[in-house]
Amino acid sequence: MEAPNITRVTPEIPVREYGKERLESFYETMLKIRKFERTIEENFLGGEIPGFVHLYIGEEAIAAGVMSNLTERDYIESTHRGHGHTIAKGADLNRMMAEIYGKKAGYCQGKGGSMHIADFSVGMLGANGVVGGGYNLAAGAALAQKLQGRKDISAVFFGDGASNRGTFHEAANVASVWKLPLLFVCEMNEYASTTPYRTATSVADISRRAYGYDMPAVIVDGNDVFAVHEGSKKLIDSIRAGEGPAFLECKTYRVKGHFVGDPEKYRTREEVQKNIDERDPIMLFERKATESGVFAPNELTAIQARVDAQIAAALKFARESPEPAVSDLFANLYV
Amino acid sequence: MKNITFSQATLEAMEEEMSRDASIYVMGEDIARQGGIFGQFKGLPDKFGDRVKDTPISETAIIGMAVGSALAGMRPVADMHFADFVGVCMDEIFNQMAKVHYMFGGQKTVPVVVRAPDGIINQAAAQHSQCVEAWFAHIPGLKVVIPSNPADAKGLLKSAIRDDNPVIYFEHKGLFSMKGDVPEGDHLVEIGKARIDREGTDLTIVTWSMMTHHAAKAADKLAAEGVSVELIDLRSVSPWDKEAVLKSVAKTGRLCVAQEAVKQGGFAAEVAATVAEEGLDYLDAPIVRVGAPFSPVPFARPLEQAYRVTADTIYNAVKKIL
Amino acid sequence: MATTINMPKLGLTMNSGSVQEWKKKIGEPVKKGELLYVVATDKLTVDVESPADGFLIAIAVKEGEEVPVGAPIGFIGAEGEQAPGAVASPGPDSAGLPLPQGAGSTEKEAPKTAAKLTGAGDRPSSPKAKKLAREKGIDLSAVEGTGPNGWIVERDVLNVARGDIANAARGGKASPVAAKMAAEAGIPLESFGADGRVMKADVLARTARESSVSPGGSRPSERRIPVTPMRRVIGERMLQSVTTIPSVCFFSDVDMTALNALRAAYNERLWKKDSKVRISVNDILMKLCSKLLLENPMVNASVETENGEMKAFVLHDTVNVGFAVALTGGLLVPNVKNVEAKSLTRIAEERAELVEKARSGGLTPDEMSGGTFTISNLGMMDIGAFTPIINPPEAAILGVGTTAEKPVAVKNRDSEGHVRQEGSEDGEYAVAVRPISTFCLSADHRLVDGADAARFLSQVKELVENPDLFLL
Repeated sequence: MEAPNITRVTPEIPVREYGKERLESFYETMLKIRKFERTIEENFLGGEIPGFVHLYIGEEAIAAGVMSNLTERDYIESTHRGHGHTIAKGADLNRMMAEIYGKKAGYCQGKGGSMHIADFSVGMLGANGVVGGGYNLAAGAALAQKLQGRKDISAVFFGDGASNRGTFHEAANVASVWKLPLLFVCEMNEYASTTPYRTATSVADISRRAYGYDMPAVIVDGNDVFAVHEGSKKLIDSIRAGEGPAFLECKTYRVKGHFVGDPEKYRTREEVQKNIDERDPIMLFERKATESGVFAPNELTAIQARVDAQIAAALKFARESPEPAVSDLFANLYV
Repeated sequence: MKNITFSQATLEAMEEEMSRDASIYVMGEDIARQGGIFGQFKGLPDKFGDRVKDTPISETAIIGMAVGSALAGMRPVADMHFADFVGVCMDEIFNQMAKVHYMFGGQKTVPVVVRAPDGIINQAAAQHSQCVEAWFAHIPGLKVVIPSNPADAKGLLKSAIRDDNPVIYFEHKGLFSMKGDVPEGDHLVEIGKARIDREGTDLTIVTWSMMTHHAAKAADKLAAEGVSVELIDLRSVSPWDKEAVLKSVAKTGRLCVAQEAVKQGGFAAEVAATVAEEGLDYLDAPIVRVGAPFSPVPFARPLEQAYRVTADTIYNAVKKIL
Repeated sequence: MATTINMPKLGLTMNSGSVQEWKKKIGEPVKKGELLYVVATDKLTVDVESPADGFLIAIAVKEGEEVPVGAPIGFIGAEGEQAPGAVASPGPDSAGLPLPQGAGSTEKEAPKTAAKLTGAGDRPSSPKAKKLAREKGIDLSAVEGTGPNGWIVERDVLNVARGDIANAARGGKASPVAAKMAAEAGIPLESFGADGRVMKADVLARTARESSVSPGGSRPSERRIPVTPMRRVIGERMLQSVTTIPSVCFFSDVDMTALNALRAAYNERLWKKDSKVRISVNDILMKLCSKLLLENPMVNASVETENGEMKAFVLHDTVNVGFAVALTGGLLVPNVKNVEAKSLTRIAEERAELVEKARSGGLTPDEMSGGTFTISNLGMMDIGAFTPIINPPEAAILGVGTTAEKPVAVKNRDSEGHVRQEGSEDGEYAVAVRPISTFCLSADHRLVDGADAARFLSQVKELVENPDLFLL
């Protein structure tokens, strides 16, 4: 039985009507994320990048689609798999890459790394290494926006795994009862670390849980940037209108392991390959964009080349940046 | 100066600060309509309306939202109802609040004050009586203050609110009704600076919060026997006034550290260890720590009485090192 | 064959002395006539030369330990030679004699001592006490702990340190335990008298009698300063004076106008002659007194006693006038010899020289002894009058107070230009302001009867007020 709060949204606006600029933006954002992540994967495996790295490959349409409805004055709370959100929110690739390399020129001066990138100048309040740690922070940011009388909203990204944290309950309840301008964005990528969602989550559609908080929910194909854009727009408009929080569930698939180097004993290669072949969001976009006749194939190639150059510059910047000095250890511990 | 209670002193600090800075708001359970279970927020909503918020019983949300709103430009004061409940939102305190400034390379400060009424009072039993300051003194990025009297209660709360770092403000439930002279207006107490409650030459007692009053009684008794006690009220346990303690022990050669919390792993251990590391040659006797037994706070009256650290506990411990 | 170094007798009155400092270390070569050690006696320190060529092979007394004149204090011998009485064969870093701890320590010994102190950790002791013991060179194994769980704490070390000092000041004539107990109980070791070694039982007996043991844990609020040899001698002399001499004091106000004028005239003359000498009031008083002392031989005499019984009066035919030199921690009384035969300038020169020597510690025993009369002048101290204590074996001492302008009644004689009172007539008295000093003569009544002493003092007054009479 479908919960009464849920709406399943499929794209209704013809691709042509999005306009070339918007489409280019979707494409460029997704490509940036894809190529950024591939570069990191390559250099992590090559031994250059330290620490833990969690890739957003295959989920690019969610970040690109949601962020297309947000401004820099809106806030987002991200996760350990946060590069995509950060890029889509408009962060600088050089400083991101430098942070992932642990360099002084990074966003966090080398104190954070891959899991803890923030860019407060674009409303990106930080990636969170604790699964489910972002809900209440985002609720707080939304509370601040409400107290400050702003029309801006906050959005919190989380996965199906994080949806099982009690923090979700506290944030959803208070956001609803205080009508906070907060969008919950669930990236249902089927795996909580190594655990298939079916074995750990009580509901097939996590958006059913939003019903308990009297919250409207939308389910979209998370690999279709048009669906994500239209579904999130519907909810964000309602939030901006003061209707209180809302819940967006994006059905996607994590085509990479939990982290780079994950042996992936919990699923088959075939399952992964099937998703890549049939559901890759960039492939789906390219197909729609060219089929609609808005883009010629060579136009997409030009965008690819532009993004390649940006990624190469970021990598060069990161590699050449100095590491923090040991004397920086206590910097920014206290104000 | 006016003679008011500890509770009124904190209220005065809140009123003054909230009038001064519109980005300050306060939230917690039972604080707006009820005025706080110890009356420490009484009348505040009349003046500041929606800036005084009753929350759901959701400690995680309270602290998480405090941090998030601070990142969005607010200066929240979050009330924990009882210090015992901070365990509920420990991740928000030690992984989020304490680390954001450092982990994100200083991009944003987190000016949050967490008010946490602690301590034993009238058989409140195991989950409403604890002193947990040591947990937070162990977390880099946090400041921890713990006043013992109305004047410091006001001065430290105002300083905590103005501090751009997250500050845990422990207020002993047994002190709320205690009266004392409190300076009017902008009375600030520097965080990290101890108060020499009385000067002495024979023995240093380092303590904080409620225990300061028990230690003072013990010191009176010792004074009658010709033992001159220097009593240091730390007021802040992170950062703490190491210099004041070392200077005093250099003078007296003897150190007793008294805390209400369970002795094992308490903050007294930090003080004692620091003096042993940096002031061993000052010591003319073993350091003695006074703290509660290693058990939860019991309910039954005789058990609670036996459990409590009192002036006599301190007196008896000190006698062993004279 | 080793040469024994004995405590030398450095002056008639010296009974005992202590080695203040050895200039050589054990094992060092020394030549006959080379400075070897410094002896501290009653009132002075004297550099002493080596009596023989060879090596300093042993030291028998602690520095500062008082021993009688003639007692062996060290030995000069051939290199490696064993000192007489040595028990064990001296090793390369051994002193050669079973010596009191701390005596004759060598540089080679020092680390050994330090190691021992560090090793004293088997006695539970506080870090502070350990540090203090290291600093004071106290062996913790000899210290009894009174702290928590029997710990040796700061006060225990301090007590031992105090005991050591007091014991050393007394010539080491107390057992270490007794010294420590005495120090703790606040009983000066000196109070046990000079005979025999003070033992624990003596102190216990005293504390039981006086019930004055300080309560455990409390700290004495006063400070204890060990008595220096100089102070002890001063004390003994003064005590001897007031307990054995029946002294009587006489006062007289003396008009200093003429003496001051004379002094000013002399000094102006000396200044014009580019002389550095300046005549003091005291110099003139010495000279004036010397004339009167020869005219009153019993005042310039001393009593010879045997077993406390008067036997003879010794009348001196020269006048050696002592004067006090105040020093930090005491005073010395050197004397100018043959004052009667010397010019004022010579007296002034010698006096200045003696003051300088007293301050630098260079007075010889001779310069300190043989006085026949003393003038103690406290004029610079703004003191009205005082009764000086006779410096035995002298018969009398003259105390001179501050000269101050005072109103005095003088016969009104126009010819002398004194202040005339309105309406007064010749032969009446008028008030004049004069520089007045109160002189006090303390005299030994055994030699000088009251009338004789009074006459002597009035003669002094007359001569001071009319110095021209000196030539009569």
